[in-house]
Amino acid sequence: MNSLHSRRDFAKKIGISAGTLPFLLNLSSVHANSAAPKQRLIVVFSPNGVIPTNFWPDQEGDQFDLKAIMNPLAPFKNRLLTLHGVSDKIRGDGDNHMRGMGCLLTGIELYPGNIQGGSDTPAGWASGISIDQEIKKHLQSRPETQTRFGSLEFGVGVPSRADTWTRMVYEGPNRPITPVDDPYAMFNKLYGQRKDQESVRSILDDLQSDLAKLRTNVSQDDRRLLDEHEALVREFEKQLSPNGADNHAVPSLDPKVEDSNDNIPTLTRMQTDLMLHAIHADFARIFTFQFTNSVGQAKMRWLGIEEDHHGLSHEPDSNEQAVEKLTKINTWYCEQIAYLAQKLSETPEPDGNGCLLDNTTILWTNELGKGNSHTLENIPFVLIGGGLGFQMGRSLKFKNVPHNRLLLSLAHGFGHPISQFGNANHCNDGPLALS
Amino acid sequence: MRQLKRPLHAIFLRQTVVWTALFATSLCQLGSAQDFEQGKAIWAAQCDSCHGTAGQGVAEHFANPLTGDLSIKELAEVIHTTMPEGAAKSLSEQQANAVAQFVHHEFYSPYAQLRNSPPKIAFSRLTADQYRRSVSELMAICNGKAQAWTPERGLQRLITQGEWNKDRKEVEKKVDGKLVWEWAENKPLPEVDHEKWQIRWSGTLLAPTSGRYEFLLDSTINTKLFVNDERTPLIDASVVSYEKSTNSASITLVAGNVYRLVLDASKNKEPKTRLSLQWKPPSGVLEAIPETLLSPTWAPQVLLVETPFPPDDASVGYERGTSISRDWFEALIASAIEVGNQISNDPKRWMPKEANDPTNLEHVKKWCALWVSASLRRPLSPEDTLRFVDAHFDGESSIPTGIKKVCLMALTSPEFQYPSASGSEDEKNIARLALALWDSLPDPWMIEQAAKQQTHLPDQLRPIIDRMTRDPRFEQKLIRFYHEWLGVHTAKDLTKSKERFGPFDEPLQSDLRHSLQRILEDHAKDDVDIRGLLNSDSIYLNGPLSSLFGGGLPPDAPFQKIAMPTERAAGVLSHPFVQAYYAYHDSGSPIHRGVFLARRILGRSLRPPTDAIIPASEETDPGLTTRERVAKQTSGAMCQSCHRIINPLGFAFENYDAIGRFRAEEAGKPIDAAGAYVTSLGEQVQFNSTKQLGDFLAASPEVHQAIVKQLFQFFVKQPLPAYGLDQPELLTKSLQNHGFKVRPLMHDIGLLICQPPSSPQPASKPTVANLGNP
Repeated sequence: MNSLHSRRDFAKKIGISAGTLPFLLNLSSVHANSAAPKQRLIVVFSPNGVIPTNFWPDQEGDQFDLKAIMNPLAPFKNRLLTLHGVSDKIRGDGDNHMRGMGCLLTGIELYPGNIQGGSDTPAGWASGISIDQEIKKHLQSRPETQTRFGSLEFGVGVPSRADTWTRMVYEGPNRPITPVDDPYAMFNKLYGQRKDQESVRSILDDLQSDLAKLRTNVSQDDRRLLDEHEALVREFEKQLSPNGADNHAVPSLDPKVEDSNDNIPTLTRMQTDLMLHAIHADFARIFTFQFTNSVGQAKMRWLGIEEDHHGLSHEPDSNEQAVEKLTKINTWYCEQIAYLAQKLSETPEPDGNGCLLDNTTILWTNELGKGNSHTLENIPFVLIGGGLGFQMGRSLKFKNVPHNRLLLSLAHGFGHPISQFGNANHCNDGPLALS
Repeated sequence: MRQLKRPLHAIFLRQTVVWTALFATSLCQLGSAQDFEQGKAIWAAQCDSCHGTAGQGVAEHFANPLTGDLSIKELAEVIHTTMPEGAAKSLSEQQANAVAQFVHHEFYSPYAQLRNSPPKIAFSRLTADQYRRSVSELMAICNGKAQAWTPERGLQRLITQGEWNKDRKEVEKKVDGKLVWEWAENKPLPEVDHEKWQIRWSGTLLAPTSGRYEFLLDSTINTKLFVNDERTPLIDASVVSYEKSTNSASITLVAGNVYRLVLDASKNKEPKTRLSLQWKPPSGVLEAIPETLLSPTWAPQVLLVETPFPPDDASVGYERGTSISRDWFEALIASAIEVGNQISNDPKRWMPKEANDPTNLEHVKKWCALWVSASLRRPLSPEDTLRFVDAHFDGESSIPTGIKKVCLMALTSPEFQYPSASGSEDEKNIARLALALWDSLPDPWMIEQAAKQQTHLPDQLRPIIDRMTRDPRFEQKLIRFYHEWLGVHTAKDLTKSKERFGPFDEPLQSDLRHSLQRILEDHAKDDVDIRGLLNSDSIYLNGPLSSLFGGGLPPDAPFQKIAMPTERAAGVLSHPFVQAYYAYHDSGSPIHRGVFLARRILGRSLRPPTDAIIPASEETDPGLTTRERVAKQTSGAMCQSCHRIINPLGFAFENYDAIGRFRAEEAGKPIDAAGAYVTSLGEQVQFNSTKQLGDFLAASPEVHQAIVKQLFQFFVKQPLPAYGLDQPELLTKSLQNHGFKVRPLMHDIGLLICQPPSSPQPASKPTVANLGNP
C-alpha cells in the first residue's frame, strides 16, 4: 500500500481528486482494507409499469407462489422479498413518467422547469440526491468501505438525450448522472488504464535508448538531469510490473456490437458481465442498471414483439394480446435479473466467505405501478440477495406507504441511519421494517 | 531638484555605458592602487576571521556570503558606522573607504559575483506551460488550422424565429459581446414572437491568464455553452429547473491562446427569459466576460491538456525546467495518455479529411508522422518513421491503441522535452527561437527553412525573428511579461477594509484589473516606446472606476483612455491596481512599494529582513501618518541597511491609499510624498511628486538594464550573463538605441541565443591595478 499512499499524496499535493487521474492512482489496486463483509446494492430499472396480476404474488408472508413475470426468479425464491403497497407519493410538477423516474430514487419533487410531458405542468431536474449516491457518499467517506469508483451507472439502450425521462441517478439537486450504456465506454472506464499501462510499457525501452543517445550530445554537467530522468523511467517501469492481487483477468468483449434496438439482449449480457467483473474486482459497491428509460420504447423483436414497449403499455387491460406481450416483455427483464442473480450466487466472494449474492442486494424497480393507468401506487419493488439484514423469502404487502421509507431502509441497511430522505413529510414513520 | 553628487568610485560600476561617459571626469577621483592594497591588508587583519578571505562567510560568525549592490560610497559608510563588530568607527573614513574598494571589486559587487562564478546556460526541459502550449500548437500544425485573433471585438449574435429544422428564419445578425440579458416581454427584439425564437452567440475567446476558468450560466431558457469543443457542451442547460437555473463548469485554458466560444439558447414556452453567462478567471472574480477578450471570428478546436503538473522552479525569478521529479514524470505520462485518448477516441474530429477514415491505416500513419515531425521540430528520417510511427501499428495493436502509443512516444521523447539539445545548428536555432518568442514549437515553414540550412546566419535569422515578433503569440507573451515585471501575475486577494473602502468591491477590482490589462496591451503593440510604462499619464477608466479614481466620466461610461493629472502619473506604477496590490488591507504600504521599486523596477538586490517583523498597526501609534509609522519602525541600524533604500522609494507613493486612490492628506495631515534614491553610481536623486519619480525611472539606465535583464530571462528562461558578462550592457544599449522599442531588442536577443558562447566570456573590463596607474 505504500506506493498507493504516496501517489495519493502526490495527487492531493498537486490538487487533483481521485477520479481525475485514474491512471496515476491505479498503478496499484485501490482495495478497501476491511475484515467486515462487503455490502453491495444493484438497482435495476425497467420501464412502463408492469401487469400487476402477473407480477405480484397473491399471498402474503413466507408461503407464496410466483406469478408468470417473476417466475425466472424461482431458484432464488428464498432470497426474494416482494414489497407490494409501496407508492411514489411525490407530487408537484412533471407528468407521472417524469416524476416516476426523477423521484424514484430521490424521493423528492422535481424543480419547476421547461420540459413539458404528455400532461401536467412542465418540470426540470429532481431537486435532491438519489439514494444510491447518498449511500455511495457514505461508503466513500470511510476508508474501510472506499472503492475506486464508489458507484457505477450502467445502462442499456438509453436514448442519447438528457431529460427528466432518461435520468434516474442524481449526485445532488439539479445534477443528474448519465448512465454509461456503451459497453466499450464502460470497458474503457474500468480497464482503460490497464491498457494504457501496456502502451506505456511498450514505449519505455525506446525512451531509455533516446535518453542514452541524447546523453552523448550534452556536457558532463548536463548529464545529471538525464541521469535522473533515466532513473525515473526505470522506477516507473518497476511500478508497472504486474504485482498479483489487482491483476485479475480483464474480461474480453465481443468485437464491435452496434448500439441498436435489436442488440439489446447482447448489450445487456455484455454490460451484466462487466458489472460482475467490477463487483468481483471491488471497483464499486453501488451499481445501477437502467434498461432504456422512462417511456422506454424498446421493440423486443427477439421475443416476436414488433410494437414498442411504451406504446403497448397504454393498451387497456381488455387487450389480451397486449397483456400477454407486456407479460412477456417484463418476464424478459426478469430473466436478465435472474441471470445476474445466478452469476452472483455462483461466484465466491474473493475472501472465500460465501458467494457474491450473500452480500449483494438487487433492487428491481420501475417508474410506474401499471402502464395504462400511469399510477405511481404499488411501484414494483423486488429485492433479491442479501447483505442488508433484511429477512428474505417473503411476500410483503403494505398499505400504500411512501417509498421514501424504503429508501430509508436501504440507507439503514448500509449502516447509514439517516432519519429523513427526500421529502421529509413522507419519512415520518421511519424506515420500513424489513428485517 | 536632482542633486548630482559626483561619485567617487564610478570605476566599479556595472554600467560600462555610463562608465564610458563618466570616465574622463572621474579619472582624477579614482581610488588608487595604494588604497586597494591598504584595503586588502585591513581586510586580512580585521575582517577575514568573520567574513572569510573571499567574503564567503564563516559558519560560527557571519555565515552569509558578503554580496550586494551598494555603491562603494554607501558601502564605505556602512563599514565605517558598523564595523568591525563591537568596534564601530574604529576605522577612519579613509580606511573604511579602502576596505570598501577592495571588497567591492573582489567579491561584493554584482559584477564581481558574476566574474567569480559566471553563470552558464542551463540544460532545460520544457516547462509545464511550454509543454501545454506546444501540445496545443501540435494539433494546429497537424490539422493545418492556425489560431487567429482579429481586431474586431464582441461575438457574432444571430437571432432566429421559428421551429428548429422546420421554418426557422434569420431575424437579425450583428456583432455584440454582451452576455448578460433579461429580456422584457420575453423576447430579444420587438419583431419576434414570444415563443420559438433562438439566439446564438459565436466567436472566439482569448484567455488572459493560464489556469482553471469557471463558467457560470444562469438561464431560464434552453441553453448550451460550448468552449473550445463545438460538439460536446461544457454546460448543457437544455433542461431548465427554474428554481435552480444556474449551472457551472470549469476548463483549463492557456494564457494568450484563443478558444472557440458558442452560446446557444432557444426560447419555447418558458415563462421567464433571463440569460447570463459569467466567468471566474483564475485568481479573478466572478464577472461578465470582458468584450476585449471576445472576437466574432471562428477558431479551431485546440487540444487541451487538463492533467495538472507540479509547479516549475521559479526561485530565480522566472520559471525554468532545470529540474525533474517523479511527480513531473508521472504527470507527463498521464498527460501524454490524456492527449492520446482525446485523439484516439475521436480521430475524425482531429485528423484532416484525407485521414478521416480511421480504418485507412496509411492515412492515419501519414498523419502520425506529421505529428511526430512537428513535435521533434524536424523532418523524420526513414528510421524515425519506423520507430516512432510504423512500429506502433504492427498487427496486434488496434488503430486507436497505435495512435495512443505514437502520442506517448512523441510527447515523452527526450527530443521533444529537451529542445535544442540535439540536431543541426539550424534545427537548434528554430527550436530556441520558438521557445523564446512563443513558448511553443516552430511552425512548418521554420522547419522547412531549417531543413534547407537557411537558419544559421544573422541575415537568415533576422527575417525569421521579424516574422515571429509580429505574431500574436509574441504579443501575448510580452503582455504576460509585463504582468511578471510588475509582480502582479500571482493570485492575490485585493479585498480591502469594507468600512473604509466600501465601494471597492469585487466588480470594481475586476474592472481595475481590466484597466491595467488594457494599458499593458497598448504597450505590447508594435513601435511603442516602453518608457511610457513608467511616466505616461494615460489610464483606462469606465464609469464605475471613474467615480472612485477621478476622470469625470458618467456612471455608465464604457472603458476609455483618459489622461490623469500629470503630476500624479508614473505610468503603470501609479496605476491604482498596482498601488492597491502593494498595500495592506486598510492602508498603503511604503515598504511593499519601496521593495517593488527597488527589486523589480530598479533591479536592486535586497536581503530579506533578519527577523520576521509584524508591521506596526495604526493603533500602536495613533496620530502618526503611515510614513511616520514606517520610518519609526525601521529606524534601527540593522533595518536601515536595506530600508535606507526601500523607505525613500516607497514614500514617493504616499499619495496613494490602500485602493490606489490619490489622496492629499492622511489623518488631517498633508501628505509628505518626498522621496529619494541613491543610484548604484552613488548619484543622489530626489523627487517630490509621482511624476518626478516616473521621469527619473524612465530615464534611469539602471531601470533600463533591469527591464532588459528581466525581459531576457522571462523570454529565454536562462540567466543573461551566461551569454556574456557584457550582454546586460550591450542589450541595454540596444534598447536605448532603438527608441525603447521591444521588437528591435528582441532581434538582438534572438540572434544572441542562436549563437550562444560555449563558455561565457568575461567582458573586457579595466581592473583597479591598470587604472590606478594612468
